[in-house]
Amino acid sequence: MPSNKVLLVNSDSCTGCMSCVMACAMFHEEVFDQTRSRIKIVKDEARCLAVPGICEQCEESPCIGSCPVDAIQRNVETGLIEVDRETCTGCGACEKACSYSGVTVYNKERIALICDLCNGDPKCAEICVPQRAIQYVPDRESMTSKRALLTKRAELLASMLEGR
Amino acid sequence: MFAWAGSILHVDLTKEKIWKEPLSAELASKFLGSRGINAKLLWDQVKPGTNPLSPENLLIFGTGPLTGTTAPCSGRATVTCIGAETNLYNKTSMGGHWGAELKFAGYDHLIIHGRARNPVYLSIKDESTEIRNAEHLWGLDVRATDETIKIDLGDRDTKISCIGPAGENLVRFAAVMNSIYHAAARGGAGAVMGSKKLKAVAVRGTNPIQVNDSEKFNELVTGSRKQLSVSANTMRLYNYGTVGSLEYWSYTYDLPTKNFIEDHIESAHHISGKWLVEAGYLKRRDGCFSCPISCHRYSTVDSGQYRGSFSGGPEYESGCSLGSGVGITSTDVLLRANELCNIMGLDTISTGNAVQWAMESYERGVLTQGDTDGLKLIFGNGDVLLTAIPLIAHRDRKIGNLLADGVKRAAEKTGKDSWKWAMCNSKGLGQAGTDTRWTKGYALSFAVNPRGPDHLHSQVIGEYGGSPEAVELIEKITGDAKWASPKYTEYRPEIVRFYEDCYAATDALGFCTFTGNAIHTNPEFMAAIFSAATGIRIDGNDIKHIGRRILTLEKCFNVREGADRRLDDLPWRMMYEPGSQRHEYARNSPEELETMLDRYYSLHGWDTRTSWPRKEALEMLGLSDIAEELRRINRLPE
Repeated sequence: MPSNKVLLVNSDSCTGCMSCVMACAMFHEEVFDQTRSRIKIVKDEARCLAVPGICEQCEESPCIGSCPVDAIQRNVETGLIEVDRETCTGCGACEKACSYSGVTVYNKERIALICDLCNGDPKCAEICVPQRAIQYVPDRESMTSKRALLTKRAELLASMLEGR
Repeated sequence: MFAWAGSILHVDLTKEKIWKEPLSAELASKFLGSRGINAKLLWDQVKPGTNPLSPENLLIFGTGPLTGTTAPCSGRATVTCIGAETNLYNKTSMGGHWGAELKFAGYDHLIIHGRARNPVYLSIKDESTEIRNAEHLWGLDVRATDETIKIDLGDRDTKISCIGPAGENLVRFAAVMNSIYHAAARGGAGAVMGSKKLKAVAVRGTNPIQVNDSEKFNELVTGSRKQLSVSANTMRLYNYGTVGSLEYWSYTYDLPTKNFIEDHIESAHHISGKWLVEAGYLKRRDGCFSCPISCHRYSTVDSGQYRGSFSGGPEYESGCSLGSGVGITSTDVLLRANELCNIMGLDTISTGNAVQWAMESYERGVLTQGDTDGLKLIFGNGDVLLTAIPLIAHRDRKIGNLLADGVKRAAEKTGKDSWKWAMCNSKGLGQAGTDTRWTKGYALSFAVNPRGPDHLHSQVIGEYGGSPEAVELIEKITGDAKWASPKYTEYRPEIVRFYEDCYAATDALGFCTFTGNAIHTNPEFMAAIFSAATGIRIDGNDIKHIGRRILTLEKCFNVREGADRRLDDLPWRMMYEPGSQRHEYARNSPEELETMLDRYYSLHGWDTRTSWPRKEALEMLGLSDIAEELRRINRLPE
């Protein structure tokens, strides 16, 4: 069943505390590991700027087309982007293709990690209190603000990642 | 080993040697981590009488067993050494993200030995550690250093602890900074780092941290985060930061103003947290690792003379030391002064302290224009403050060099009774922004704090009785809610001790003390989450016992250095010059302080004449080896 909720990520409220990154790794891998999380925080420490990077299940999904071994597909039922662990080589093409920094390649296992919304109860949103930079909210009410936030975040990420 | 990384990294800069040592399970369970283990490492490995700025002093970085996890507010790290400001035991702790990164790299502690021939920095990437040339970084400010290293290493995500010009120039209150704006500021750890010619430690870690019982751990994390998120204290800190309270303290005539001569300043609103938000100075809230409170600020000045100024902060202490303390209520000047201290790598408290002392000395005619290189050091002059800060950081000219040694040494050099308004106690550390004359618990805790007069070994905030929880806590400690008022001297020793125990454990686990009754004053919670994380089962009493062991060891370190009861005092002004009328001209008279000290030492089982811990007290805490060494040097009371 497609979920009727969406992740709303507001980088203006993000304090860069990394709680979401740790909660994600704990839920999926049962360890605290910043390299094995499906969400990351891109930072400019001099300006205390922190921007979450996470899969938005966007319609364009450039990650799918970018994969040289066809390891990424969209699950038509849930709308989630899924990685086939057997096929994925961890080359990082999808990571580069994504405008939202929504893919993390876990180098030690050469595998791309993408958000799966924690079976409908995203841990990143749950732990982001009181900041509420990440919220999981009904989509009908949120699509307009989601689009605005997404555009802003993509621009911010592009400027921050330029030249890295 | 669960929770701990299980390893200590040693770097000897003289011999250019790097080695690892497993973290012993006994050390870990006895002293927990961070501040606790750091203290034991310093005791074991530094000889008595070591000059803080000599290669023989150690600079020890430590993280807690909970650092790097989702446990709320657990991202702190401690830096320990013999302090340059006091020549005594000095621990100073910092938030930010560097501590967690060190854990992910696989280390609980990092010990710097010796002194490099030429400036160097360390690059730690998991297993590999490299000593790299830092000639091109020497002289750079903290922001430029951070940026240059990130470019050098080609890694924007590396986390960097470094010193600014102040540390290089051995300013005795230079800070170690991390993630640019987070400071391990007090006592001169930055000068010790500078004396080792170590400009920075860059860390990147990709290892996992595992906890023993993740289900239980997650449950405790969820509960405590929920408790924090609904607490009024959290919301105050989140909304307005630590500097949010400054205006209130002025309103109640409790705000140290003009070198503690006054206690109230008109327009305090303009250097207070609420104004920073209302007037648009605050741009963002910044979170230390795993912190839901995010009290740290990011503020900018967008117009006027200081347009373009940007920095983390300001904190309450900086608003006090660089604002009301120097008689300044210009937001722009405060933000610029705060930025300057951050990028030069200076402790804002002792910097303000030194400038305030100089201003009072100048106004009294004790320092003349000849002494100040023509600087008209009068209270309220923002230009002079902003000129003085870089002079101090660079030890530039006569006045910069005089103030760079801190108020105790500056007053000794200047003479003419100027020690009477040097706001430090006999240990030599500049007093933090609390007027202890009418807060008796703070007075006692400032006097006995092993590193000097500040709130960071025992913050007895509950004595104000400012919330139902605070009153309840004081009732629990003293047996009667009526003692929840800072005007009483009764039961202050009991209250200080409770906070001391909690504070040491909080620091040692990696937690922040802004967590109130959710964590900081909740030993049962600390024990539960420590047990879930490590698999070592302990209870709240054990936590307090360990906290007391750590504090006592720190005390013993100073005893070994020759300290005794005479160093547990307060600045002359606090003891002999009454404060405001509102507080009925209160002061910390020697009689009042001595009475509290007698009781405090007795509770600890320490000798009241010397203040030295007795053998029985040490043995009870499992510190027989410490007792033995003190006996050997004749510092164990009969």
